[in-house]
Amino acid sequence: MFIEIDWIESIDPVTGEVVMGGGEYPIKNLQFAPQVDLTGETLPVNEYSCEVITTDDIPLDTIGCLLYDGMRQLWSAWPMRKVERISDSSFRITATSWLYWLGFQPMDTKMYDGETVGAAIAECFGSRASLAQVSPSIRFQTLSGYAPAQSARDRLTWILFAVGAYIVDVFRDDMYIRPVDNTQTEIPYGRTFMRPAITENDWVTELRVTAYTYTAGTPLDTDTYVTVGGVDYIVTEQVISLSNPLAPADAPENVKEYKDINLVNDDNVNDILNRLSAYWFNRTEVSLDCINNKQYRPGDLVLGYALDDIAVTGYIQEATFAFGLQARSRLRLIGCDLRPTAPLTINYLYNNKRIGWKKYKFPVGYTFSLENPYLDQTKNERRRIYRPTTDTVTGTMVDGGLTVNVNYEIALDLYQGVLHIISVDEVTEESSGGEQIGVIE
Amino acid sequence: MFTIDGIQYNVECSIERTAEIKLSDISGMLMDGHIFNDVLGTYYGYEVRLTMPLRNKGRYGNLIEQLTEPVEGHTFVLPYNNDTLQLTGIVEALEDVWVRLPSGYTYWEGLRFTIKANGPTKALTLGEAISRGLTPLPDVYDPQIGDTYIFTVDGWEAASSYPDADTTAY
Repeated sequence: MFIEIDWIESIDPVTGEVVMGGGEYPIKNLQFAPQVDLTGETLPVNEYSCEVITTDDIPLDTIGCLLYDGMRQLWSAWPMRKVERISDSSFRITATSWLYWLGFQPMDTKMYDGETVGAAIAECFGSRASLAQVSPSIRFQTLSGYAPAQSARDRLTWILFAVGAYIVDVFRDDMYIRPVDNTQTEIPYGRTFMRPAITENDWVTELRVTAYTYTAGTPLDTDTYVTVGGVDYIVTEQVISLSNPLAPADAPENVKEYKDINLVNDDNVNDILNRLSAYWFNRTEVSLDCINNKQYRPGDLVLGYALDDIAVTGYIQEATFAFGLQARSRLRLIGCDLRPTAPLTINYLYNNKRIGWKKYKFPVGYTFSLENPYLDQTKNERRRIYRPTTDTVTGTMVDGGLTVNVNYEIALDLYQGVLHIISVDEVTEESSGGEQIGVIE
Repeated sequence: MFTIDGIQYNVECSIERTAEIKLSDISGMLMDGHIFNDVLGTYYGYEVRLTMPLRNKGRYGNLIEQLTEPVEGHTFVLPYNNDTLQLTGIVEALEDVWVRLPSGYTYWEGLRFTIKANGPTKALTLGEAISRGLTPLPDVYDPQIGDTYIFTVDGWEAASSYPDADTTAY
């Protein structure tokens, strides 16, 4: 990992010539644990800290502060919040998500009445609106309800809660606001470290969300009302609840309540309840360690392994990274569903002879779709690349396990410095203008 | 013979070499029973022993001063297989013995010091570590079944015929 920091060293008052400072610096002791709150109750401010190895003087007011891995892939583009010299050749810096600064930006009282989510979020970001990229699936949804004078971050929290969205502010240079994607990503058994931890929380027996309606009019003494722009709005509240069907009848009453979030209304309250139920009604939390070179990110729905024979699906609430050459992360999964696994064996056959196999573990009932790999094998100094006759193998896991056969043919044969093409894939156009064989993974 | 920061020492010496393949702290046991080794790289270490004392006391003193400089690292050139290896490393330990003969003549002998490399001599990039590549095959454009390529000293070349008699095997 390394960091790129750039700043303006000086500006010539006469010529206006700008002298830039900075560059790329090695780092150590990186603390990086991004999180999201998929329930929408809070808007976590992510940050990281690290030691930057340099004798340069790093100012706090920088233009860019970009955290990269060894493949020059971006991990974070948050601005620096703190910088302190800790030795002649190193600084400790803390970079913090833009959301931190939104906490200091005040917003006036507002009555939302059909304003789009995209416009409302842009308003929260103010002069930094270009940072906020809103998913098209929610950009044109509308908001209605009252918002008191509050910070831009609190306002943003309410908006995201109302539409069921969260902010992705890691691994990119902007802030992407998106709804939860229920596409499941698998964390393979062989990429998961031993000893995941399973925590059983108390059952949440019921969810209650308060919805608000605002009607312009003259309030009576007994009415609750708010005033926006000189207009009075009479407030009516309705509490909508949902019982947890998974909780046993003798579970002690434990109600999770959401109130005073005034952008909840009759139109969105049921969606909110359903969304919250995915996180609160499954009471199991799983924490697991896996090799994670950015494949698994906070907010993702993943299928992982909690025990040797137990699979887990859950949403990543937090990912704490540790770095070597590659990265390992401890993922905290919420809303977890645990299921027994069964073995899947895929036999790779060439002329009915097994040339390879792969074994998987998947939860019973899971519909798998796996890409058949090219097999690159060297035997007696003869290298052959075998090509699957079908791209993928699909099926549904059953109790007791499953065995599936996949047929292969030879694509390339390499022997004593002679390469022979036996079969080819569909030829694809390359940007260089040539065409390239598609037989090598 | 070795070189330190560009100064070559043609002295009688023995040099012992060690290599350590270092793993990062994120290595560990996976659920399938395999061990994930996050290899940071191969780090070399050397121990240099002077087998004969240096006659030139001034030159010996300069060597000691150089080796004991409190710096982060020196650039060494040391024997490596049939060649030499340049590495930046730190002198971890140094010792020698002062001798006074009955004639009153004094000298230092038995100098030995260990060098620990500051960085890996061999290391994979992150991309290589994530997807270990096999030996490269030729870039094949517009592939046709039956095409043949032969590896020569100049690299891969297209061949007009397939000389291997085993083609009927498949």
